[in-house]
Amino acid sequence: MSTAIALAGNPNSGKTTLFNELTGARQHVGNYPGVTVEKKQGTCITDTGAFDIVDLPGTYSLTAYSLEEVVARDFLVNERPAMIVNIVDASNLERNLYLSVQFMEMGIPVCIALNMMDVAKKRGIDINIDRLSELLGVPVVPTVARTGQGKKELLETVAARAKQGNRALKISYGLDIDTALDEMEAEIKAAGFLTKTYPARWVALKYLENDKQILELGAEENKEVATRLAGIVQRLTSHLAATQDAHPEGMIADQRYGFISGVLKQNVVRYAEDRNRLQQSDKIDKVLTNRFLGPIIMVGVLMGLYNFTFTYSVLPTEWLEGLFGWIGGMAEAALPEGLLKSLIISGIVDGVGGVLGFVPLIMFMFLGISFLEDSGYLARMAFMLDRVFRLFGLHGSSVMAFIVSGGIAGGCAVPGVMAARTLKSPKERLATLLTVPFMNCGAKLPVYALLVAAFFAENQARVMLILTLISWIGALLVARLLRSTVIKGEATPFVMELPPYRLPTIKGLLIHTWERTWQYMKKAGTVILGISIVLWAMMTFPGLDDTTLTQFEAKRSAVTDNVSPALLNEISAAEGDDGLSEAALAVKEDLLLIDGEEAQAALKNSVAGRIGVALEGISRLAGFDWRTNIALVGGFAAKEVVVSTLGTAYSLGEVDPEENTSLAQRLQSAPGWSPLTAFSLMIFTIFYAPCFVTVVCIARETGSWKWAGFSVVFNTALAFGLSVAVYQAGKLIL
Amino acid sequence: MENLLVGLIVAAALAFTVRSFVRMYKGKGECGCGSASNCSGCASRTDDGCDEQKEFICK
Repeated sequence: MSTAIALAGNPNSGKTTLFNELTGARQHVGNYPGVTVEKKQGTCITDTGAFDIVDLPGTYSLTAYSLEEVVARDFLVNERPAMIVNIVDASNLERNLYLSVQFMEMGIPVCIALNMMDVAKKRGIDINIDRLSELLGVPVVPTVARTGQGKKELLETVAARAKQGNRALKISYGLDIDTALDEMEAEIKAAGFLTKTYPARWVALKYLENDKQILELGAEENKEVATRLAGIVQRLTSHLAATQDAHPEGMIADQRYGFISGVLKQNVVRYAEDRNRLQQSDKIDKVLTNRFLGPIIMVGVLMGLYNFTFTYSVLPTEWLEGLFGWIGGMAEAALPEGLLKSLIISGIVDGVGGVLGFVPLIMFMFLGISFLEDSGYLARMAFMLDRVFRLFGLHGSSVMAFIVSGGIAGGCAVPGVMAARTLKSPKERLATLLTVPFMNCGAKLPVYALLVAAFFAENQARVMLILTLISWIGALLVARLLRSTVIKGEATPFVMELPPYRLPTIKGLLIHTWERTWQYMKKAGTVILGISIVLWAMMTFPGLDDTTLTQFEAKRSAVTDNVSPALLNEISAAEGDDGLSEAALAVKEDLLLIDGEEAQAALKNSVAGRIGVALEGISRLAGFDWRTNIALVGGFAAKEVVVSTLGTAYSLGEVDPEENTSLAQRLQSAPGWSPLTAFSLMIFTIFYAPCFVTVVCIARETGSWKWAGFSVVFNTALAFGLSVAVYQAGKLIL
Repeated sequence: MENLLVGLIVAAALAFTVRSFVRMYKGKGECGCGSASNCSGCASRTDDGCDEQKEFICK
């Protein structure tokens, strides 16, 4: 039988790293607080036994202030694991032990994993493990989760101590509070009030801490007892306010810290150097988060990241383009003319190949982002942007949701939307939910990469930086607009923890990069492939009617009837244009022109073509032709589809099938395309309706399809307005 | 024969796409939520599905 254990601790204390070490999983670890919002489960079988391990969200306390705290507490209370493995950051012992004390007060057996011992050692912090364990009355095991050090000892300790049970820690909160607590505890025990689930003293403490969840549960359970308890709380509150100018909640926190301080002062911690010395991270922060220098460095870092991505991905991208060109050429030569050939070349190779062609670019971008994330710089970005966010009616916690969604091009709006759960104010949360889709997610990246490569080849990194800034400025302005109109409300305060800088490990960087790149490839090979085939069918059928086909046939006959059979034989016998006489070349060109016209007419007459043409009347204002319209409609399913659809649309309308040009080259030479059109399309892509999955997420997170519908309609209208403005202004200027 | 094959491929692609979207809608899309960008193709759902729990077996 396996032992159920819960990993719990402060955000950024290394829970997920330890979880990965113990279970062999590869859950993503971020060097910023709040990576784990949901609980994750894994199994570990060792010589000491089998363990069911649950990784709980990081929390600072067990009072139901935020979703993480509720998730963690509900699990501990309802599931009652055999033991809590409390991961404590050894370099921040005092603050981390605050949560440990609350676990111990709950009466669930606790084992402390004193993590990041290497960091503590580097900072000159020496911890007497045995003394700490003795004073707290719980086992303490030193660990370094990053390297797996202490993992075995931890599991051995858990196996040995899990079944021994634990008495709840009883801290003295001072005479006034203790008296009230005793009175409440007696009342609770006598009435059996919530005691099936919670220890009586713990319930009393939560009443004093004004814990909304417990207050609601109490009111449901027994109104009479709840009212009596509230009366005691009220009496104590008035007394403390009158005598000490304090609230019970604050007093309880003070006493807990007092208890911890008392423990630590008993020769538990020794500092080799002056404790107040500036840590290395603080020194770096003096520069990197400086009020004036910080933002400049941040823009420089982004520019560096984009430069790195575009510079190093050029060659492998060309190789992949060449590979898909070769596959297309092989299919062209091997397959007979017909629907199957069109499906394979235009639908699959040119469609999905267009998306897969950007894998190297995505990979380099993710590598750069992983470095920034793992080093701790991403948290600094959030810290600096927090000041700006408050000006626009958003919360500091919104910053991470924005970054996760693609604040640095390459994220995903789905986890971004979910990250907004950490916001406590419903209005700030809603404003965040509705604006995170403006960030440049990994799915928008291939669209930008395609257009930037085709029309801004000399300034790729600079254009990417401009697009990033536009998306941020746009999102913040929309947030301000929403917070001033439909979702008015007060801003709530925010305190952000800055994790220390760490040198990312090569292994960690490679794993993160690979995981994200693999997700991209998998999506291209599954959902995008499916959509590409469906869209190919929509761009192929119903085809041209007999009358139109006859007209094109007649046009061909008009060309061929006027030339000698020898000339026609020369054209059909020749491979390519090599060796053809001038007269034969002219005839071949005429025939290809007719073929092209026919292909265009067939595409225009297709189901998708008709939709594109119907929208062209309006979309022309933004510079988009009917083929772009098809791509943008397809992009609602997933943004990568914009690229695959353009690939198919321009492949189906290809005049010379023997010419294996890339999509970027096709767009460059296509009529109606210019750098201005491309820029207008990129602006539209930033702001228009979120993809299907994000819309579903918004509906789920807000509990209403009204806001999901709002995000589709509002974003598309905004995107169109901005694209028209850019295109029309550009036409006037250029 | 060729048209039949193309018809089958398109029908399979359509069925797969519809199924994928239904799964996404129900929050059952495959994903590894909790990281910056590997969540494509999944939707949030706390009672059942992608972002609640994920089983891992240790090496």
